[in-house]
Amino acid sequence: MNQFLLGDHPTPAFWKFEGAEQLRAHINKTFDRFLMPAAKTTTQCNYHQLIAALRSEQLSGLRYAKEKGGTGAGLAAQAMFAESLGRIPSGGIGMALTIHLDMVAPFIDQYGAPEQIERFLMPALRGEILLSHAVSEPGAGSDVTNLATTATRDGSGWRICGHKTMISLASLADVHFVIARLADYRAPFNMVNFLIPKDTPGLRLGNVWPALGNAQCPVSDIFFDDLWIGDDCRLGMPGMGMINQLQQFAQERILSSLRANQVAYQCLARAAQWTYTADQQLQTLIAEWQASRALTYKAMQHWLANGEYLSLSSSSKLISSRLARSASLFALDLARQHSKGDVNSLQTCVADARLFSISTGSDEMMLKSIAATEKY
Amino acid sequence: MINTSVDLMTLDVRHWLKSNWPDHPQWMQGKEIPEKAVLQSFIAEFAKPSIKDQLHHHLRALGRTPFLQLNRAIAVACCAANAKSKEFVHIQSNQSVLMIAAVDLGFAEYVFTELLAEVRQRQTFGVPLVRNQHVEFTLAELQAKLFAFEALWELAVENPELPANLELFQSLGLPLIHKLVDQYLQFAGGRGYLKGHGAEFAFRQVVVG
Repeated sequence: MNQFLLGDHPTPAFWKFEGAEQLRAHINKTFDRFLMPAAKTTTQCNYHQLIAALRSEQLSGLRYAKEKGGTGAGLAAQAMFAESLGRIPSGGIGMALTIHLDMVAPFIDQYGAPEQIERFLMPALRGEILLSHAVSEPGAGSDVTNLATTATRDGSGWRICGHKTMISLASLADVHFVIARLADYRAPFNMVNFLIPKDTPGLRLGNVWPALGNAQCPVSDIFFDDLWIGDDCRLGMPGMGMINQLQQFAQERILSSLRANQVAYQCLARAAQWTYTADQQLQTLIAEWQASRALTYKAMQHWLANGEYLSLSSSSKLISSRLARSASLFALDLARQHSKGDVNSLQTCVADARLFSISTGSDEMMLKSIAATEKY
Repeated sequence: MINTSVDLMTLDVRHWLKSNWPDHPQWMQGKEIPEKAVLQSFIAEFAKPSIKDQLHHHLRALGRTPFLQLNRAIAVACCAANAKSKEFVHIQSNQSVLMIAAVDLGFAEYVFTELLAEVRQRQTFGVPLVRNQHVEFTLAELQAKLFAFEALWELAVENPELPANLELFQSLGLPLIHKLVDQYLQFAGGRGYLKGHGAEFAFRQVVVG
């Protein structure tokens, strides 16, 4: 196998920091110890224990400052963590940790008041509370502009009414990140975000939906029946909810792409053992993997440099998600044809990888986002 | 996305083309291209030792013109010209791959720009074609692939010590160019099918030429 094709890929500049190689080895070793066994069982993973274990290895808060409970290693280190998550043969665990550490926690870090950092972020990084991200709604999906859940000022707090659907980790989480619409505010400044503890009166959970894959990241609905929540649980300025969310989506997509590329790599590396090097489909997928990885690294580089990365992040998410799907399917087909490898684990991989194109921004959302950002 | 340095080089190359061959629009209508003279002139202008390190980027800028076959011939000639300078020989094979890929990347960018202009201008059911979701999504998909191809090429140019694989770029670049040209012809409609239109000329060069 040509080294440039599957292996000796140039290290991007942002991973040339001191101790980068040691950090990667430490992440992989820790994942092998704690995440791999959890990925191979069918029982529901205990995320509180898992995050506490990652914490004991200084890995649960790489991107967060020390005074906020993190390790202060920075975004580039977090990107390394995200990429390594793709090695875990369970999309569910990868997604759960991404939601907790890279979707909700960054929001609290960026927009949270000091009391909220202490109340939510620091315990989250210690594994004492688990966070879910409740955005999708019936009739809107993850289209933040068309959400129907409402938040209305009521005394010293807010009344929330609505229904969130297909929320990953909802049944396991202790605190839900919720975005709601403000009446009498004009778009796009008409949304507000909250952190709502699971035992708040008026919050009701639906049943866990049986699903095709991602068994370790169960999805269920959340209902807000005239729920009242204090203003101390509001995250960020009223009216800025959507703007803040869209910015966070763009960043999370890059980290999700790193994971998807790694899933694709794992599948291609396995498939390469079962077919000849000149296999046309393998060559094409490897070329696509190279390009997808280069694009994700470029998006990451622009993010780190505070540059323009909206189009790059959406494009990267679109390309890497599709690649994870096609690479896993290719490996499964080969394993079936040649009676090689563990077909069951590849079936799980195909089912889990399929969700990359659906969750955290579907392919259609990415296409719309590219068109909007590039102003067609 | 704007890449200022390549955009400036594109202006340079277009200025060079316009000043030296003012009749180049007629090449698209079938007038014979003075290939050898164009090629020599480009090398004299843009492959000078003083700016040799920018040759890849100049070739990409050259690629942003409608003449893919001519531009590829120029890229190959630039590889040969560079092979003569000794310090370039050891990485010459790598450079050749990247130079040809540069022209392909530039051509993909050119077709995408023309395609976008076409669907913004053409109307259907009372609105520009691009307001149709199918068209909008097709364009977004092509643009995402174009970004990926560009990112891979840039990474390879920044890391000349690693071997660049011709098949790698061909298996990405050629299908992308084919798809772009095919959609350009489709969305340009009947006018695009007529000789002299950019879509017809691109299709003739890439698919049936």
